[in-house]
Amino acid sequence: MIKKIQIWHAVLILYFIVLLLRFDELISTIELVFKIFQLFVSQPENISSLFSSNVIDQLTSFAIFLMGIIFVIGFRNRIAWLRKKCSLTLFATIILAFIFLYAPILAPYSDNLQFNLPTAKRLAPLSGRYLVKMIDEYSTRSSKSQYQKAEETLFRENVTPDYYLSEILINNQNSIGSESTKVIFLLGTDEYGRDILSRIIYATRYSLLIGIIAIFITGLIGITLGFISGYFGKYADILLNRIAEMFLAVPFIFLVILCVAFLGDSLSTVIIVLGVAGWMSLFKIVRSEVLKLKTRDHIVTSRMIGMTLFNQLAKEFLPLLLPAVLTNLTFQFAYIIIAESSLSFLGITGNYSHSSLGGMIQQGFLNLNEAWWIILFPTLIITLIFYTVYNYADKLRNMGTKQISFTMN
Amino acid sequence: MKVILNNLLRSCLILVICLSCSKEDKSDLVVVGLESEIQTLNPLYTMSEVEANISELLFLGLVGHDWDYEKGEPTSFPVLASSIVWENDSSSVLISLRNDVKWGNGKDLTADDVIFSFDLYSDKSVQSRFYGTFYNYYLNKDLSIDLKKTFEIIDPQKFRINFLPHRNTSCYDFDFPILPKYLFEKVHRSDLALSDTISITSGTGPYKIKEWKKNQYVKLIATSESIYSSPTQIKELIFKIIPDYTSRLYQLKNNDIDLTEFIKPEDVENLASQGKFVLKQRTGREYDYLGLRTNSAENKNSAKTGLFDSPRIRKAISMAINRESIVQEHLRNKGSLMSNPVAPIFSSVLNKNVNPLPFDLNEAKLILNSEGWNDSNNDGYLDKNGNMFSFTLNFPSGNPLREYTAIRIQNNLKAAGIKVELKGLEPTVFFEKMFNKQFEAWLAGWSIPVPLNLKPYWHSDPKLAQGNLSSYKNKRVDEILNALDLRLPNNVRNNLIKEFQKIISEDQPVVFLFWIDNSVAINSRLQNVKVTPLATIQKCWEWKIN
Amino acid sequence: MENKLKMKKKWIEILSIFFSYVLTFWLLISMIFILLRLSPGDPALKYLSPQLNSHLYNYVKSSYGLDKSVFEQYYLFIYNLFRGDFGISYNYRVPVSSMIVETAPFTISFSLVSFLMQVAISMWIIFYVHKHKGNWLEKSLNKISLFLYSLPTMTVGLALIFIFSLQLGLFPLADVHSTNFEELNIFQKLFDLVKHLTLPIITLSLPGIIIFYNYLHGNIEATEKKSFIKFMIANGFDKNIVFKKHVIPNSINPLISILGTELGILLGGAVITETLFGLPGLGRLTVTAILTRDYPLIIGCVFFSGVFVLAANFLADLYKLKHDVQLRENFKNL
Repeated sequence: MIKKIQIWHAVLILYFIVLLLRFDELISTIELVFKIFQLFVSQPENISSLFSSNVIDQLTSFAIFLMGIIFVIGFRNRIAWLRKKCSLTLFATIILAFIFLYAPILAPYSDNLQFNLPTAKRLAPLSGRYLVKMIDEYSTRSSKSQYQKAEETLFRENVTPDYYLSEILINNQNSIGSESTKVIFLLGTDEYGRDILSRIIYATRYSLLIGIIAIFITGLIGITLGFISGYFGKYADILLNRIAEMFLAVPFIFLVILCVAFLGDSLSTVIIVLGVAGWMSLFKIVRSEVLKLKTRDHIVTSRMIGMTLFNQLAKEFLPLLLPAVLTNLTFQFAYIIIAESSLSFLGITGNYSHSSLGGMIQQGFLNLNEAWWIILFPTLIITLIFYTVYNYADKLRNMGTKQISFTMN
Repeated sequence: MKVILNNLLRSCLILVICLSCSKEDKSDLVVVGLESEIQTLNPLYTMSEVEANISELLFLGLVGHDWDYEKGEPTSFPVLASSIVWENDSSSVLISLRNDVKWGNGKDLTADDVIFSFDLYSDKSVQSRFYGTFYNYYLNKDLSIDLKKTFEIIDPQKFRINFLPHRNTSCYDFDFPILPKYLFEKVHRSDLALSDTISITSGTGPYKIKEWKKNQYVKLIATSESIYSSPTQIKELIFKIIPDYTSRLYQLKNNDIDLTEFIKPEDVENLASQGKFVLKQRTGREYDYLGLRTNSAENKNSAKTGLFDSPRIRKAISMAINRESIVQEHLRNKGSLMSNPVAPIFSSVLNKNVNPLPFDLNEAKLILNSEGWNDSNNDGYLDKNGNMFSFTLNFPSGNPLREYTAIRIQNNLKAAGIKVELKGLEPTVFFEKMFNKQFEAWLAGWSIPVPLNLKPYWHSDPKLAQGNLSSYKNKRVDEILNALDLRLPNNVRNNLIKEFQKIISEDQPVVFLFWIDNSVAINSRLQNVKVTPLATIQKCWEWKIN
Repeated sequence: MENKLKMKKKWIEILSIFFSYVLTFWLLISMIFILLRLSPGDPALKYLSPQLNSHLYNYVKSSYGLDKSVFEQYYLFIYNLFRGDFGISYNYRVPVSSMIVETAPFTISFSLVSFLMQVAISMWIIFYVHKHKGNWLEKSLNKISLFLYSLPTMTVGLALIFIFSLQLGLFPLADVHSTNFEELNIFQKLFDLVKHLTLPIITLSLPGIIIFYNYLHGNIEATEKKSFIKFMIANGFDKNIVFKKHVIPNSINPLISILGTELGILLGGAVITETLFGLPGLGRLTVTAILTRDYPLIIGCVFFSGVFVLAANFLADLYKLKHDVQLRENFKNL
């Protein structure tokens, strides 16, 4: 039975689960879209001020969500890939892709939302509490527009006096004017009263995002320099080789810590540093491949007929380099994610605008006595990411040449 | 297969043997777990409190101190001195040394050593931590002590110190570990910082260094010659550096260490309930505050928004922050709300009429409204002349309490309509920027010096007050602080300090958050540990093992 | 005559490789120097305190030489480096060289033991697996090796600490040896060290074991397919002897070439391990130095680990030069 599951089945099952669990969220998003549309009709001049980064994020992932469903259902017969057997790795990939693309929809709360501590501190997984909203008082007191209210239900980053968590059901709607809903913390909460599920979802997304952008940088640098070095040779080759050796002489993590400590720990710095610090192995691979390829007939011909350098690289070299480059980059991707989580584990990237897996593990270690769940789930997801990535790297390696070694850096 | 099983069994057996065979005998050994690295034990350069406390076990000073809980002030008792006789107007003091104190080479401690020590401490080329802080002494141009004017040697064991007239002098003016002249004069003064004289010599203290591994531990063993040496004294003290809190806690529970400071409030109850540990509080000498840039006009480095120039705004922010909930929830009441920088432990000078500002969101909003900040565009944030009330709050990363406080402040102020962006900075970068006054708002803490010294924190002259980072300026406060340096009758002095507290509480130059208690956990086999507001690691020669 | 010429040529090659390493080294040191001067953060920060005199900070700063021009600092830095003087650690007020001498033996032996463990254990598994082809170990290793490799160092370390130190109490939490180490006899000392270092070494070695296993496994399979092995076995040589004497040596050669990189990984991976287990190694020292802006110490640490890795690379290069003619041809292109 399980062996017969095809990719599109798995995707649809996940969509179904999301629809089931996050139905409210989807409805509120539709409401938000509707209100934005209303506002667009009534006062088009103010429309740009509505789009905060939160709103754009939510709407984009909502749009991708809808398109995804349509795509899978509509194209399942036309695209053979969707009908492939769904292995465990593929399933894990799909889950990670879901988290990456639909984080705002999947996460019940914002990653920094702190519930009122006495109730929400270190709740065990699956524990239920009541979320109380003061309705009457709130709506009379505030002069907020309908739009802002819709926005607020979606992007609450803050516990205000009229929105709190309670251990018991407060059910006298008439006198206080409150409305209680039961909420369940699937993975529990941390010591600051933040929902771990939401934090993990956002942290995973950040990790993947950092990894993707960073390997893009690595690829760009590695391929360009490797090409220059291999193609032109001579002094450029000697110099670049020495520089690569120099970078290799310092352990990757030292280099990253050094740069991050000195250049600041903003997200962009971390991405750039992680991207730059790992270019050497790709450089070496590309260089040696280019050295080998450069004397081949079709390359020589392409040079003779006057192709530009860029065209030569893009049209003649890259297709041949691709397997080696891809394998290397897949490994790099994993190292970058390891490095990123190690950095936050060591407390070197203390970026508090978003959650990070390494930071959560560190926090979990501090609370190991009281709460095992804080450390367990981030660890699991990190292992899942690595497992998936390595699996791909392994497959790519086996598919391509055996020359690319199983080494780091 | 059989062979492998056999091998496995055998290695298991060996493992079990070795796990059981080396049980430690700790009957005459105490291990103290330290949070931060000991960089030096040379009394000239000990920067941190722990370093200074440990180096005082090696080198005794002329006087020692105790805390008088009833009066709420430190008291002094002679250590290397046998008698201390003050002149009536406190302008000079006659000190006789004990005649039973000997250095490692067998020679007696003399007045020469004392004067030599003072000379070293105040010498520019030595760069000691006390350089330039001898405010009550006659000084040369380079801020070293004018030895001729200051010291009068009466006989080798007896000398007089002459202070500047009309100054507020006390035993703290000569409270330094005394160094052996015969050893330290051999080293060139500018090389003293690098010499390892300290680790090979035994001073006047009841302990000396046996082994010192950087980043790991310092091992001290008892000496027999010191005035505090006794047969019952603990033979070996190990100060082990364990930067990681969890590790420190586990080692404490595991009996690997006997004493450690800075226990997290949430672990205090847990430890206390185990019955194996005694928990003591070092109450309020440290506080955290939310620094705000006052007097933006005077500051060159930071953006000139002038958000916090008005004391009323600062008061409103103070009232909008629910400090009590932080004290209750994160500090678990191992701390207290504060109104001003005079710690409650100084009970004799404490102004009991000054109370911490209450948490009152509505009042805070009213004040903000009356200062012209309204939410005119209904976005949930206050604005004035089209500018939103928003600022960036900087804090050092790696401190859980400050991270927590920062997040709470962000949430609290959001409810009041102020947008706060958080920025955690690596400590070195943070403190550099903080001291360069580059922040508009920041979260940091101070530790109150004993004896109480307010001038370096609140005087408006940046040369005198390196700690006045928010550029606070108040004429009356300056007058009071200047007056406190002089000799005054006790009641006048106390009244001045009380007035200072009232003014500073009104002005809120920074938002005073709370006093933080330092919880010390001691294994109950270790007895006689005195934890006072002055120090935790003190008088270790009086410690006993049960 | 020809032989002599060959020798001369060889020496020139070795020298040129050596000089290229020296060049690399100079680049490395200069880069670190530039990075340090560009970075924010103040090494004399601890002298900025309200309770200290404000002049003290300036004096200390000038005694660090930080008030000179950058070029002068660079000149002095290179000059001192040639004299073998790394300067004095700002934090510890002792010569950097003595700090490194203090920590390096531990780091070197720790990584070396870990490296040997990796080789030994992976070899043992290889032998075992080879003997019993298709048994449970090989099957499960093929399945979970990737999973084991995916576990991040910190997770492994934390899990080991949690299970073996906290729950079972079998191993101590941290440190290299007990506090009463001096008083123990030689066997107890050894036991004590083993007891303290078992968990850290497992943590540090696990990924390496998997790498070596996978790498060797693949190589051995490739070597076994080669004709000379098949020929030997067909001629009735003992399979085990062929495996030990011919297959393994032929498969292990490429391992030498990744030695340098592997050492780099060990030094880097040691940072997390040392932090977790409170070990006094170079990794922790480097991170502390970086975080407190102890410039001379940072340079010293980077210098040392650089020498370590580059020396390993150099040796690997020499080895290759001796054994692989093809590579020698490649070097001419370099």
